[in-house]
Amino acid sequence: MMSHTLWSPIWISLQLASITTMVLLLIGVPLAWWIVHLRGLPRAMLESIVAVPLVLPPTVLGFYLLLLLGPNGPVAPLGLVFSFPGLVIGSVFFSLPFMVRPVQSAFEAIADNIFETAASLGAGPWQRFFHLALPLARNGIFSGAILGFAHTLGEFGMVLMVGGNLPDRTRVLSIAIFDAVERTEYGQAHVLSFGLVLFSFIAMVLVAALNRRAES
Amino acid sequence: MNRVALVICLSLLVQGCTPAATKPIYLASASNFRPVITALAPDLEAACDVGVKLSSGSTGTLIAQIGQGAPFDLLISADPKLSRQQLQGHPAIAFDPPFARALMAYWHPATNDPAAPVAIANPDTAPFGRAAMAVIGSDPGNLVRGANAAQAFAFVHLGAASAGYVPLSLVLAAGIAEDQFDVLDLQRYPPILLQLVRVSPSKEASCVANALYDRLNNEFLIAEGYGAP
Repeated sequence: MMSHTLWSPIWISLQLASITTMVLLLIGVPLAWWIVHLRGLPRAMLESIVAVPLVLPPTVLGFYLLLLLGPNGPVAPLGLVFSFPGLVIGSVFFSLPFMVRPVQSAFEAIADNIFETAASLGAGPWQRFFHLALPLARNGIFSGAILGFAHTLGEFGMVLMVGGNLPDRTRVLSIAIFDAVERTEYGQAHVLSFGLVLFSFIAMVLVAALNRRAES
Repeated sequence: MNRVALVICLSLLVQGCTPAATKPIYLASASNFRPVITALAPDLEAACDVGVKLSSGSTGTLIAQIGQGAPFDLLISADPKLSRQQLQGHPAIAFDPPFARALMAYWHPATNDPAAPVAIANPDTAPFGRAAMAVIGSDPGNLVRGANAAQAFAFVHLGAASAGYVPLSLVLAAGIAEDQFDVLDLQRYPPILLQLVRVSPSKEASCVANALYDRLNNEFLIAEGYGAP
């Protein structure tokens, strides 16, 4: 039987990754569609902004989120620091490129003449997006969702700064592993770490399979 | 797309099936005291009908988190001076007098590589780090810093450090053989005093604090690696 100490961070991580993935789907897919239709400097600027978390140390984002959400920040009354909703906000920012990049690539791979033909047959922009772009880019959207989910599960530095290490509230898997190592409870650290390794491997296999399917 | 949505929705639904717990009391503890508070937690929960949720870290880090709004109810600080300096303005806070003095050991496992660095806690945030630096003096040599005393202990435990200046409480809790460590003379480092800080004025937090004091008699503290304040 799995102990509460093991189970709790797994559940919190799954909730965090699930909600983050849903938010990412809601904002990442339209954002990728928008980027595909931008040209020149605005496109380069937006692509860069979305991609910044890929190269930024998580502690930088954690620090600024702490300032923003903390007791002296502009949204202090919402009480988001050291809370689960605060973790969701941080995770959405941090995993955004992992959703947007594959979806953007999938949109770019759709031949323009399909949209031109649809437009000539009277399909409006919304119809073209919902009835053509989304179905044709579904493999990219699946890949983005899997990558966003997996990246959120593995995040450490930002969640430690924004969420602290509160049991049953913000202690996610990666922090529970760190905590278990500090307590020299390596058995617990092994169980949680192996679970993450296994999940990450499965996620990468799924992404590779989706990419192969998209290519074929 | 529908399959992803289904998986996400199912995982959220299961969240709603998690049983409701008793009122949680968030207790932040200096990492050297973690084994003691972990052992006492079931007693405290039973005495006050609460769930004790334990977090540990360096005193400096925990104090900074409370200052930034972390919802801890109680703090076991290993630096009473810093607690008062940093948290004086915090609403409804109360500082109890120190209840114990933490002791430091030099742990030198024979199996570890003698060429590896010596582990200490971060002197900037952990009182055990400052105490270690006081013992080491002006020639620190090859040191590795843990974020807190527990991480310094873990470095030695994992064999990544040759030896370490670590809390005696952690050495005793891990059952380390007596010939593997030396208890350092108290005169060699500034006192590391443990103090309970009441961050929340709730009756549940007061109950846990009182139940904790009831169990911290001198005999118990000495057995756990502490001395009188």
